[in-house]
Amino acid sequence: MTFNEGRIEYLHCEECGHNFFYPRDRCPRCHGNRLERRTSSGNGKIFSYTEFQGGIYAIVEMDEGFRLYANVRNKVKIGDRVRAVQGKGRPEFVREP
Amino acid sequence: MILGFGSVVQKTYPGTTFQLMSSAVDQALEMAQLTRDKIDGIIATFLPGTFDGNVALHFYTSQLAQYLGIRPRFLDYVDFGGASALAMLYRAEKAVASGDADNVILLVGGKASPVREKRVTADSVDRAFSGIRLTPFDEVFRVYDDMNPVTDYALVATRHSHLFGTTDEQRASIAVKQRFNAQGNPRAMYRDPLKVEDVLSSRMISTPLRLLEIVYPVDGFHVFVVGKSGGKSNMRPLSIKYFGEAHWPEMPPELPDIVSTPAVESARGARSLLEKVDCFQLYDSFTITVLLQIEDIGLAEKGKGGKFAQEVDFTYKGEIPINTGGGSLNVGQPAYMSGGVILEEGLIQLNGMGGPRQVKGVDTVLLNGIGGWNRAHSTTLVLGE
Repeated sequence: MTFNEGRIEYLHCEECGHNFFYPRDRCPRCHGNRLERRTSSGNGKIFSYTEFQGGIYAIVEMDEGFRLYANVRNKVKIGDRVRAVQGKGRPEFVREP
Repeated sequence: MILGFGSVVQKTYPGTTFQLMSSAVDQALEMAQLTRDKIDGIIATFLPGTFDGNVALHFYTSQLAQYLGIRPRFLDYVDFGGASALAMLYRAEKAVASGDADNVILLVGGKASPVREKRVTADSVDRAFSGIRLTPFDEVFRVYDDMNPVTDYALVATRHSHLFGTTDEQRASIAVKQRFNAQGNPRAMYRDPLKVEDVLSSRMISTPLRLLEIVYPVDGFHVFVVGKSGGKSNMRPLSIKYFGEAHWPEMPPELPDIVSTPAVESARGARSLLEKVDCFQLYDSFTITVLLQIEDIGLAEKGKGGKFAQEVDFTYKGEIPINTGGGSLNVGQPAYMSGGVILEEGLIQLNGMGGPRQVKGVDTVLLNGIGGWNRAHSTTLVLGE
């Protein structure tokens, strides 16, 4: 999996249709191994968040159904729409207006 | 049965981690009325960085035996973090029952100070020490800025409040009641009276978690001795009434939700025993951890843990005593694992050794341990005579 130009890639299981992010060679739901690499739209919403001295840490739920840990650049609340942008070696999220 | 126990817990222990462990072993053996030559089993646990700042100890359990001068015929290692101690006790009881060993010592602890001084924790130890991988996915996980485990548990607390309306005051009341209990524990590090307002005005660390909701990592070892009854030990002949363990290895974002722990499964078989339990010792890395277990072991429905925490008197004087010695929130968390703290307090209560904080007529105790940066491990133990 790569994190180029703010894009978030994920895996789609061709056997059960499950979309997942943390990369494995088997689908975590059905253990199938026919997996397709796809690129996310980059759009999602905040599942949970916390603000600490080093920034905002969150779990983002992408529109494709998978969730990932990430940093968010603006103050957010649960349910806020966010969009992936390029950070240093990682995508980060900004709040959609 | 448990023949004896001992512990040495200090903010910063001046000697080596081997010396710290050895002095806790001496205390436990004195209570068990045993000498080192009678010990033929060791079960240990370990977290990177907590043994004099070493990331790993090659052939760890063998090094422990080497230093202690013990030649075991039974060696085991459990790496469930905070959930280890209770699993180690269960395994030791089985080893003794099967004849694999006569007397087993459980070694739980280490020195947090070398890790603490680098301003990281056991769950962000990869930021300060090289050669550590936390997950199979670090390339897309550890690239983010966090302060785990605090930030990860903060995500849980945020979500719990969002779903169920849990308030900061409700979580704070857990810290307040545990502090009341700590006032009856002369060995607690924090014993000054505490009010909800004090918790709410303490420094915000990771929203919504504040300083007084978070354990302080310390140096310490807890040692427990397990063997057959009939020896010289004066301890009550306790046995395991229930043991359950459950492991949810998923990355928390992949769980259906993040507001439950595997205690839902490890404690399921103990539901029928809850009525008999005289006090509870629940893992308390953070206030939210206690709240989650109150729900997951079945003291309150999911979502009602906040109400329980605020309304139920769970001090040692109350109807449902929880964390009667103040818990690790007040004793300190040795080597980033509170399992030894809760097991020791359970044994103190069962043996009537609680002094001012002793709950009357304790015959059955339920303990729950939680471990792993992602709350992957839960162990539930019910001890009684």
